[in-house]
Amino acid sequence: MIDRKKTSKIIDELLDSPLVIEEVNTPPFFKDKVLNKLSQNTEERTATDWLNWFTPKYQIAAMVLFVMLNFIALYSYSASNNEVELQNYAQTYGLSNTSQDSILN
Amino acid sequence: MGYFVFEKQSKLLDESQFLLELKNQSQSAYGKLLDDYQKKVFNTCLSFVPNIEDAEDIAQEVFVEVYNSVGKFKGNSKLSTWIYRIAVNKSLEFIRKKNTKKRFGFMQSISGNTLPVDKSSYFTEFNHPGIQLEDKERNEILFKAINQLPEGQKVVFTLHKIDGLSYKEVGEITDKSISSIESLLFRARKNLKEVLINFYKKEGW
Repeated sequence: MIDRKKTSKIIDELLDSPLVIEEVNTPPFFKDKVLNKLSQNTEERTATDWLNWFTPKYQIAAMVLFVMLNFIALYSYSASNNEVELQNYAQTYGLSNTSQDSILN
Repeated sequence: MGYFVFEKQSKLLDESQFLLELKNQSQSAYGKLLDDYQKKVFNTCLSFVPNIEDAEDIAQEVFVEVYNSVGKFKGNSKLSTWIYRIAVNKSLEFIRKKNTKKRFGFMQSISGNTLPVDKSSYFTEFNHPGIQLEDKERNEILFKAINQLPEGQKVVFTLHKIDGLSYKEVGEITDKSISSIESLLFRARKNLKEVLINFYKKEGW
């Protein structure tokens, strides 16, 4: 019981008494360190500045364009391929005009 | 009366002129800002994170953030209040990161990957140069107890009790009314008492 009272008293003292905390000076060269950090920061910024215009809006547009180009290329490739395959087939089975116009006939 | 109004107006003019220079990224204005606020910012960070190295890192980040975001500052509050807000947010961010790392470390220690970590401390080591050596132990306990409070209570209690700001100043920084500051402080004190009773019980008092 006495211990409980004692503990409660200690806690009240800890919470109620004004904390004795002295104001602390900043560590030496604090200002220099911050200014140094800032100059590094601005250097990094200028290095990436040339890509600043490439906002997400433009990134999406570029991606859509890229996908569309790919589809067009794929489509035209498969279309021309079909034509070649058909010609080959016709030639093989003697169905094309070129085979009928042969001198051997 | 007229003199005070004139003085207030000239102060406002000075601040808006100073702000304009900051927005134009004038080095001399920024140097003045650092001279004026470095001590206050450092001490606020130290109130949240009682370790001199950690607080220095946070204070440096605060000034970098001020430099980067001063262009977005609309002047709805005083410059000092805005800087205080950044200092509080950066300190809380640091504590959150430390607590996450601590939880991750604890999970790893359960799975047997690493050595157990100190689960009670969010600062590297208690090292507050403004606290007397004889008060160090009890203040360390208090700081650890404060860390267990909900964030709103933690901010208000730290700014008022540790940093020594008035209710009005705390209200301006946290954007809360004085009555809600009082209520948060009351709840913080109640919760701290419970945390400390449990702590002393565990310690065998």
